[in-house]
Amino acid sequence: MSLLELKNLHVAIEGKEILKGIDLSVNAGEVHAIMGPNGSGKSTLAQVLAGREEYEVTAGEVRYRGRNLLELHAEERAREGLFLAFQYPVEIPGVSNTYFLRAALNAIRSHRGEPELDAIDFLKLVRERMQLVKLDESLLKRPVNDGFSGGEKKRNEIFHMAVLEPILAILDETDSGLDIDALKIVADGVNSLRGPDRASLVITHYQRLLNYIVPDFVHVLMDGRIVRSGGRELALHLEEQGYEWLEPEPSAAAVAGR
Amino acid sequence: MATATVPSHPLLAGVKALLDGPGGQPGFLAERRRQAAASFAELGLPTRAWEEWRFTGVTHLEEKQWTVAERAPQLPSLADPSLADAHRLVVVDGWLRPELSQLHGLPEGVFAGSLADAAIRRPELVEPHLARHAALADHPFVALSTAQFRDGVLLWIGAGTVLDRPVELRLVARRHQRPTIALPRVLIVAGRGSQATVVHSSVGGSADTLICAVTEIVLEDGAVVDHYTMLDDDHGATHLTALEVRQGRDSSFHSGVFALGGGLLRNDLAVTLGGAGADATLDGLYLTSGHQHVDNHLLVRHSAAGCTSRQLYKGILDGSSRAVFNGRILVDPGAQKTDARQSNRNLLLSSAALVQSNPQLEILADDVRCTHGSTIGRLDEDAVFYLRSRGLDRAAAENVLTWAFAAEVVDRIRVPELRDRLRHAVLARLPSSELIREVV
Repeated sequence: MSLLELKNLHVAIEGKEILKGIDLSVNAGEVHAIMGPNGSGKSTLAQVLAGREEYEVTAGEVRYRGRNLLELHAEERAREGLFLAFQYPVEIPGVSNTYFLRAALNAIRSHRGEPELDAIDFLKLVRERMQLVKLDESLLKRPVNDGFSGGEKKRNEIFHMAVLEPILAILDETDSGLDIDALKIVADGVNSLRGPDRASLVITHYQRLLNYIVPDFVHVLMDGRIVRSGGRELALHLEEQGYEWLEPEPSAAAVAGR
Repeated sequence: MATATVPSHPLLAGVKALLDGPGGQPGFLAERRRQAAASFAELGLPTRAWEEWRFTGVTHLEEKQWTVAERAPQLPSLADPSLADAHRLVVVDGWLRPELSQLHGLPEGVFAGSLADAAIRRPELVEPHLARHAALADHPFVALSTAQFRDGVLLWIGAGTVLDRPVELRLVARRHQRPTIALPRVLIVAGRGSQATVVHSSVGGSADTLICAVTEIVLEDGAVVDHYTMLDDDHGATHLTALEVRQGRDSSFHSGVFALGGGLLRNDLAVTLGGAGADATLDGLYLTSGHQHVDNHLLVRHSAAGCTSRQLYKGILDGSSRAVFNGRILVDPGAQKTDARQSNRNLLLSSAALVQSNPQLEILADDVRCTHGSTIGRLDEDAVFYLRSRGLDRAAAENVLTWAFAAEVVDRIRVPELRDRLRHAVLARLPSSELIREVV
C-alpha cells in the first residue's frame, strides 16, 4: 500500500481551479520530485496536502497511510507525521524558536502515546539536530524566524523537520534563494531523514537541488496536471530543454512511480 | 481669601469645607484649588460634543451622588504586592497609609510620603510644581483632582540620586455603600541627573467607584525616569486618570501603561519635551473584553530642539469592548531636529469589538521627522496555519499569536519582576492552556 495516494485531485481557490486532476502514488522509502514552471500549481499541492483550509477540494481523493487525509485538520496531519517545509516561513515575534518546537514535538509525541520530552532530553535532541543544518545556536533562543535571513529561515525549516522526524516530508521550494553551501546543508538534512519507512515530496523549480537530493521519481506539473513522470534523468532533461517541449495535455495523467 | 466662594457643582461638594476646615490649607494650595474648582465648574463634565471626548461618554456620572472618600478608619487587607523587592507607598482611597507602606532603606536626598503633609511641612518641594505643569490645563478631571484631592504621594528625588530599587505606588480603592470618588494625587520630582523607576498600580473598587488619579512628573536636566502604570482590576470601577510629564534637557522618560481590565478607563498622558535632547518612550498595552471601554489619549509636545519621542500602543480587543487611541504629536516652532514616531496597532478577536484610532500631527517646525502608523486587524491566517502545520491546534495557535502580539510591548518593561508579572497577567487572560505557557 502506498504511503500517499492522490486520485484525480481537483482543487480550487475562490472558484478558480488550480489543480485539475492529479494522480500520484508515493511509497515508503521513496523521494519524489515535483517540478514545473511558476503558476503550475506546485505550491497549491503542498498547501492542500498540509491542510490549508482556504483551498477547496472539488473532486478526487487523497489517502495517507490508509486514511482519508482530507478529513484531517492541519494539526492532525502534522501529528500523523506529515510535515511541510514552507516556501515562505512565517515570522512569529514573541515566541521562542526552541519553546515552539518543543510544544510541536510534544503535541506529536502525545498523539502517538509517547511521553513528553523533558527540557533536558529535548535540548539534547535539539543540539544534535542543529549540527545537521549547521544552525547557529543563537537562532534557538530568538523568536521563530524573527529577523532571520532568507537562508536561515529555510535552514530553520529543515531543522524543525529534523527534530519532528516526519513520515512524509513535503519541501516547498526550500531551495529557492539559497546559495550552494546552504543548498548542500538543506540536502544533507533531507538525506539524513531518508529511510525505508519515510518518504519525501520535493517541490522545486530548478534541477539544481536534485543533484544533492537524488529523487527516485520526477514529475512535471503544468497547468494543474502532471504531464510527465520519469526517473532522475527527466530532471536533467528539463534542465537542458526547459519546459516548453512539454505540452500540457489532459490525457497525460501520470502513472507515478510504477 | 478664605471668603472667596467655591462654585457649586455636585462633584465639587466638600471643596469649601476643605478650604475652610480645621488645619486649613497652605496658601498656594488653597489658591490653586479655588482656581481649579472655578475651572471645573466652567468646563463641566465633558460631553461627546467635545472633540477630545467624542468616543468616550462620561455624562452618566452625573446620575449618581458622589462623595469623596474619607480616610478609612480600618485598613483593608491587601493581596500580595506586585513587587517583592521595592520601596512601597500604599494609598487607600486617595490617602497615603504609612502603616502599609515600606520605605526603609531609601537613600539620602529622597522624600517619599504624604503629599498633603508635604504641602504643609515642605512647601518648597511642592509649591514649584503641583498643578503647575499645564499641558492638560483644559482637562476637567485634572481640575477636579486639583480642587478635590485629599492626599496622595510626593516622591522627590534630589539631584544625582539614583534609586536602585523601584518605588511601588499602590493605589487601593475600597468598596463603599454609596458612590465614592477617590482622588489620589501624585507628584514626582526627579532632580538633575537623578534616576528612578516607579510602578504605579491601581486595584479595587466597584462599579460605584470613580478613581480620578492624577500624576505629575517633573524630570529636571539629565534625569532618567521609568514609570509603569498597571490597571489590572476586574471590579468595574471607572478610571479617569491623567499623567502629565515635563522634561528638561537631556532627560529620558519611559512610560508603560498596561490596562488589563476595569469598566470605563480614560487615560490621558501628556508629555512636554521642554529641554533640548530629551527623549520619551511611551508604551501601552490594553486588553479588553465584555463591555469594557478603554480610551488612551496621548499628547507629546516637542517644545525644544533635538528631542526624540516614541509611542507604541497595542490593543487586543474581545467581546463587545471598545478602544480609543488618540495620539497627538505637536511640534512647536523652533523644535528643529525633532524625531517623533507613533504606532498604534490593534488586534480584534471578536467581530463586535471596535477601535477608534486617531493620529494627529501638528508640525510648526520645518526640519523634523515625524511618522505615525495605525493598524486594526485580525490574526494572520498564514501564521495560524504555520503553527497548526507543526502540530498545534487552532486554539493554541491563536493563543500563541495573540501572546506574541502583546509580547512586543510586555518585553520592553525594564523591571524583570514586573515583566514576569505582566507576562502572567496577560497569559491568564488568554483562553486555555498549559501549552502556551510552555511556548512563550
